[in-house]
Amino acid sequence: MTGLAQPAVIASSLAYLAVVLAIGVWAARRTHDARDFFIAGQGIGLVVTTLATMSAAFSGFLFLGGPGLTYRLGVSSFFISVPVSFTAGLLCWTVAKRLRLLAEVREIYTVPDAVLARFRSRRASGLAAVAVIAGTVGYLGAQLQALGLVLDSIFGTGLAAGMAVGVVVVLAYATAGGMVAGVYTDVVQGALMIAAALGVFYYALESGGGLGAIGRTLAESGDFGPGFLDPLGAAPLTALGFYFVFGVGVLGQPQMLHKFYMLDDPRKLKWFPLALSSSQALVVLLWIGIGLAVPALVASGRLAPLASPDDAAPAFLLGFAPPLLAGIVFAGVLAAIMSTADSFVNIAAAALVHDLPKAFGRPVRRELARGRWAVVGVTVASALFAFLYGDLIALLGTFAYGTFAAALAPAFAVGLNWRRVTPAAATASIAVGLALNLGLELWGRQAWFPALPKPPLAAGALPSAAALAASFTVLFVVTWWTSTRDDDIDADVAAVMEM
Amino acid sequence: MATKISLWFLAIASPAILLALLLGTRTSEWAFAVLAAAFPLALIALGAGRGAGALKVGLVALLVFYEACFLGLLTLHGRDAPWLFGLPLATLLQLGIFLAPLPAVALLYAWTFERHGLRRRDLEELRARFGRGEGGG
Repeated sequence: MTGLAQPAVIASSLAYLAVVLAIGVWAARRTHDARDFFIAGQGIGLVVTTLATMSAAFSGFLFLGGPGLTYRLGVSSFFISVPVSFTAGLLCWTVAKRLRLLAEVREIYTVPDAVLARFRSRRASGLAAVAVIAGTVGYLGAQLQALGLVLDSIFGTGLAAGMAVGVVVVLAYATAGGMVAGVYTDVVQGALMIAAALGVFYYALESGGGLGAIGRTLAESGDFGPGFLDPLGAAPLTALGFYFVFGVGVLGQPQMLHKFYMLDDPRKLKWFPLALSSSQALVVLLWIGIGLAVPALVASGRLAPLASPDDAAPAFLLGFAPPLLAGIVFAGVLAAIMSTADSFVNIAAAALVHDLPKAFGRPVRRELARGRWAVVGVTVASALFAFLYGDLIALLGTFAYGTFAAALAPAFAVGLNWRRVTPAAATASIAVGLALNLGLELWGRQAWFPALPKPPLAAGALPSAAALAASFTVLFVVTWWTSTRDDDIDADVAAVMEM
Repeated sequence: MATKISLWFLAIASPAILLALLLGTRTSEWAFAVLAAAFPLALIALGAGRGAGALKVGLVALLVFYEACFLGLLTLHGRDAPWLFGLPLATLLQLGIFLAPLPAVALLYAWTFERHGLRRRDLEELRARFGRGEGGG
């Protein structure tokens, strides 16, 4: 069944699209220069920053990919979102304050800008920009895949056509409004999703007869069985890998780090962990509810087995949630995808027209105009990549998240807090994290050379977890190898690191 | 002191985790769980810097909580464990790891913010000394 049979779903989704377009037009009028385009003029308060960060973190990956992954792996997939209990605090203690203070003393727009300020290395900054672009292509691809799935669910367009429509809408939206549009769409999306997640969680539990009945149904089912409810699942290294990558890797996610530059007053960070982690925990209820209810409904014969695990959320919403709520959630998911996509295209555009030219010593003059062209290139490349990747949204998202994590988290987490980390160590860590994550992922998936053995990882080990651990290892080894007693840090950056 | 301990832990845990992911034995799973549970807390201690002392009790409590939960999950893995509140004990433990530390971590941050996070006078001093763009770059 598509949403076409349910007018409330169509009406809510169209109403949402109208709101998004209105925000885009309004934002375009407020976007005057590169500072507005990339960091929303650094004039955003706590609530908006919180909702924008949550929306950037929780996107089509969580709302559609999450329940899909649970359908395939069981509750071990929840380890992707379990770390939200501490990630907001970890972000604030480890990087947020220093990144925001760097923006007090330097003209900083992007994550590679911060790498350049801290390490005074154009090579490290350029590599960080490459990592940002590589991860963005994967992450944006996951968003576009999710967007295609939603449009297909509502309008019956088919996945490819849905993705094509999605590319056009994202392009129109992101090229016009830049980060201002993204941030304010995040606010609409965040507020919508918190309200909708509670409703969906209630209906998900009710549809399965309550948590206890869902648990019993799953445990007794031949298709799912007791292993579905085992948090460590069939492969403990996978579950633990999710926890490690999503718990520690949060420190390298540019779509979240970038938001700290926008906060108008750094002292507002005081309540940021409480606001962010609470709102994230509420929204995760949507994943947990649908993730448990759909397999139970399939096990009890009330829902046909899914053609693709990624159909879990649309199948539940269209079949078991009240139409108005389904419409709100679809609208919220569209908003989530749109705002995250917008954040990513702008971050990648900044990497292309701001960071890379700077790394080569040739800054671009008309960044705003070039940035809009870069948006087009990144969006089209991402859609093609997602189409060719051809797997679950959550797995594509995990790969992209892992790329950012392995390449950037060690250099930021340790580099901003330990003066002895050298430019050579940061460069090596970024290079190894990026190359290893991309290499292991492509090596594990390649089918061109059947005789080639699989990567030397244990069964169930995530390539991104290995790449992240390797990146940290390289950072420490090269630091001890190259560091001297006299660090080479600018006085203003050193002052920020001391605070 | 806390910074040194954190750095030593991170420096040793990183290659140990990599090794665990290459070997994939039962012991590797336990080692990965123990190290992955402590890794974010070591990063928090490193990031807290001079304020890490004030977090000592909170961080140790969180460490004990996370290690106990993960060791519990490994112990219960693959076993016919008891059910509580309609769910297997292991699933409840997982939900506990998701929910229980949330207020503790967030409130610990807010509680220590004025003294060790970002004091107003430090921020004003930074602005007065360096302002935007004066540091070069």
